[in-house]
Amino acid sequence: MPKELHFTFPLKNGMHARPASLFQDLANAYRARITFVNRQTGVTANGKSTLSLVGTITREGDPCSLLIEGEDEQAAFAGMEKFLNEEFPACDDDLVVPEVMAGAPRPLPRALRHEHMQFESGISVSRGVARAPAALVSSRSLEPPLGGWPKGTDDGEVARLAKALREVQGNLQAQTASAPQGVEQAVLKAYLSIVADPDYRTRVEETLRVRHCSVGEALMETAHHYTEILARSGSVYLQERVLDVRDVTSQLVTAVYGPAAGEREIVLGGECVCVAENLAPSQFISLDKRLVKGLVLAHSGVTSHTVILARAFGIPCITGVPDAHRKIAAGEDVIVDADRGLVIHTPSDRVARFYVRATEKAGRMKAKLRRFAALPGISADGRRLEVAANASSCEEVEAAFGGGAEGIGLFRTEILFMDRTEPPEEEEQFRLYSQVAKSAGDRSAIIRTLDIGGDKPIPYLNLPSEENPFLGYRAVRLYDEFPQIINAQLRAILRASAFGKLKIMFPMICSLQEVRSLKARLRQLTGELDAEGLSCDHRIPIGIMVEIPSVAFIIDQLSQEVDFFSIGSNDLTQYFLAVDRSNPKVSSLYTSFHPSFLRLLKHIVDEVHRHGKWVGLCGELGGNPLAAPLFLGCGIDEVSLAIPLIPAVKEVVHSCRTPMCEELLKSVTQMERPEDVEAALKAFALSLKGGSLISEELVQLSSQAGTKDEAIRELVDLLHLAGRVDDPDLVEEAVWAREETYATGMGFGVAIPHCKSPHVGASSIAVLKLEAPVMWKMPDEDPVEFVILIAISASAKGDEHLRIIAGLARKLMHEEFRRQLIDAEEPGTVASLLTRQLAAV
Amino acid sequence: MKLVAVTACPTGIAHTYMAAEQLEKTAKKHGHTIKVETQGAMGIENELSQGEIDGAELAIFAVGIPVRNMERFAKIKIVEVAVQDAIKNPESIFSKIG
Repeated sequence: MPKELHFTFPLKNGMHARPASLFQDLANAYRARITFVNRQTGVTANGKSTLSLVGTITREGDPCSLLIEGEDEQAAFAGMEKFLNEEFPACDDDLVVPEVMAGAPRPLPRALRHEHMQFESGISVSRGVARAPAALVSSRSLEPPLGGWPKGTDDGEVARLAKALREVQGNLQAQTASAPQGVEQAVLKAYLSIVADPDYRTRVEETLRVRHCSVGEALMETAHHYTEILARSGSVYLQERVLDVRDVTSQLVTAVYGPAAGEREIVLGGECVCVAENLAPSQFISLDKRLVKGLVLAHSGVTSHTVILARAFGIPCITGVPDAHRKIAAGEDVIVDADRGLVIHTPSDRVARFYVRATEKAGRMKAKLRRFAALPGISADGRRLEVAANASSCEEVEAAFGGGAEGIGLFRTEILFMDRTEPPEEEEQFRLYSQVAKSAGDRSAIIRTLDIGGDKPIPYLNLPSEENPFLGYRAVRLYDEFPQIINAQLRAILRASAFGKLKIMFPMICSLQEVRSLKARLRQLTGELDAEGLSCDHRIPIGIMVEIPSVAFIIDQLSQEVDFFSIGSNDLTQYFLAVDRSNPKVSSLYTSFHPSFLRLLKHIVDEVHRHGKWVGLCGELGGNPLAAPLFLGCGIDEVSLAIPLIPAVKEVVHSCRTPMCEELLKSVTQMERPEDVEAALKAFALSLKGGSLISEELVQLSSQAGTKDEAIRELVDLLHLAGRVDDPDLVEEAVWAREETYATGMGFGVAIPHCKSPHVGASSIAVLKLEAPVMWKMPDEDPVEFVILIAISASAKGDEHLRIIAGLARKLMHEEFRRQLIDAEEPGTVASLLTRQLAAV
Repeated sequence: MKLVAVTACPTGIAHTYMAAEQLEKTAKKHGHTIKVETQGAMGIENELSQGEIDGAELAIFAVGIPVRNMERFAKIKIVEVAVQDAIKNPESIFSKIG
């Protein structure tokens, strides 16, 4: 009697190749027969075959069940159940559909609209701008050659199939091994699971023997079978998976017969924008990505793997450009503007200039971020706040130090233990941890020991399913049952500590006894290593996570035993507020901005410091730039966050002064609602940016702008670079709307364009002095050489700003003041002249 | 001469006040007394009372939009100019007044 497991299909994009390949991975770990039944459609599938699973055309919300039968059915049932409940629902998350620029098409920026340029439009799926000659890449054809494919005996054809499968499988394995982690690897793995799929192979073989046809025809027919099913699915996402099946099929056909006539290997002659009707993911993978500056596709769905790969490689990409491969000529000079969904034919000098200026600005923006990334974590008044990174692989550790991390505040080790049938051995772990220690050099890296429980299925631990895994058997609570596993990990960390500044951190601690028992284990292991003649850091710092609220009230006791604490804000918030953040009914209650939680935070930091120890924070709260002033306010020693957030957090730290932050923390902990706290933090952040209307960085005294268009664009860009506007195109549009009412030239060579817009964060003034005067409105008017842009925030409260601008406007009527401004040689002089003037209003 | 004036431009952020400044500055230069009401984004400021209007000889409107509370000016002679003209060439306005 098979065991039956009922569930509702959880994935938004339905059952496609990537989740299916993950599913069959686990199913194949058991000997029991596992049958997947879609009870909505009545279609059943072999749970160990990716394609068979994909072929069930299962969509979100379909009622499904698994039939499990065979010798280890008990274990298989438990394993699959846990997988379906806990891992599967989230398995498609990080590779989700790329965000497509939604909404009404935006108007072209003025500077482009005034040009009569030839362009094609499409859908932006990977942002960025590139200019290069077009290279046309022909799409792979699945058509048989004239006269059909040659055919041998049935057995001969079966043998050719076997050889092709082996060959393609070998290629894919080699590519997978050398591919960087992430999307490219996930795509290759999904392909690999199709080639290794028993149902797929059986179907091709059966077709061969029944129809006595060539391998080529049998492969085509099989591809046709699966693509028909997918095409009928009614889900755009699944329909786009047809490309994957066709891609694998064409690789197999090529393996049997060699490349089709007219299909050459794609060799790029130099930097180019690749233009294709369609580009198979495997074709993309084979391209030299250093030369591909942009990608233009006539049709490739917005979720195709080619598109996902383009995003992963940061290559600007536009899809859905009708007849792109016919409208764009090989070698033609094109600009791909994937921020706006445009491909521009042979750009004029003015258009090219617009993009050169835009690219320069993007470069300055990046440099600014890099500048902040490179700063030490120190506040404006010299208070130290170490800004570290969270990581879980060597690649991430490297990226973290490249991205400005001052240490690794949390190295997660769980990934090493997942998706495998045996635990990792000491040697494998030792190699990883010592690499981390070496990369960190004289900076510290905190290695957190295994933090795993019933929410993540690990077949070799065979953990029972739990009603509430977050309150159950997890992390350090498992260690006594699995001494080999934890000892191997601790030995590996201890040995690696000889190569750098490692620290050990234990997760889910709730009592003093746990710490004492773990320390005894460490002493014993250190003794063993000494006896074996293996070196380690005998004084490796030992710390614990503060996740369970009980810890907050025995810090005095724990400080006798540990060297440091690190606040895991996610779990601490959920335990402290008793909110399961994955439960949509209550998740709105989950917030680390709850005044009670912020009081707890302050209490923990004060207690730890009172006992002379070090305390950091490594949850999501750490990466929220709004919260950074609170960290300075409570005096925490370190904050550890996701790498891309480092520059933003450092920027805030740099512009804060400690007394203001202490004041802020005091006031928010007295508030009543989390919403009020968040509003206060936002207001504080804005005040950091917009303390004054003008600053030196908003003054450019040697502008090369050659037209009014360019001058206005440059002023808006100055505001954007300073972080004072969030959407420069729309602010530019607002300025022009004002210009159209009547031009803002005021005579005397001065113009004062202005606008009020919701895209202006903090009201600001930007100043441009032009090297060569430009015409502002009429050819017979005085040309303009000095431009003052006044940008008012739509959310500006009261009329203080208006009063200031009115005052400035009046002052500009006086020649002496104008002369001082126009003759100033330093941006700082202009900024202080205006500041002084504005203060007097 | 005793003058009153109103300045108002469509957004009321800058030009309203520039025009007001020019009118005040130039009137003083020509030996006139003037009170200028601004109708801008901050609302009506330096508001003219009925008495002030009735006591003046002439009203200057430097406006790009309709003047608010127009009924106050029912009895006075009005010279209307564009806001831009008041800013760029205030002298020409005063030479017309004489």
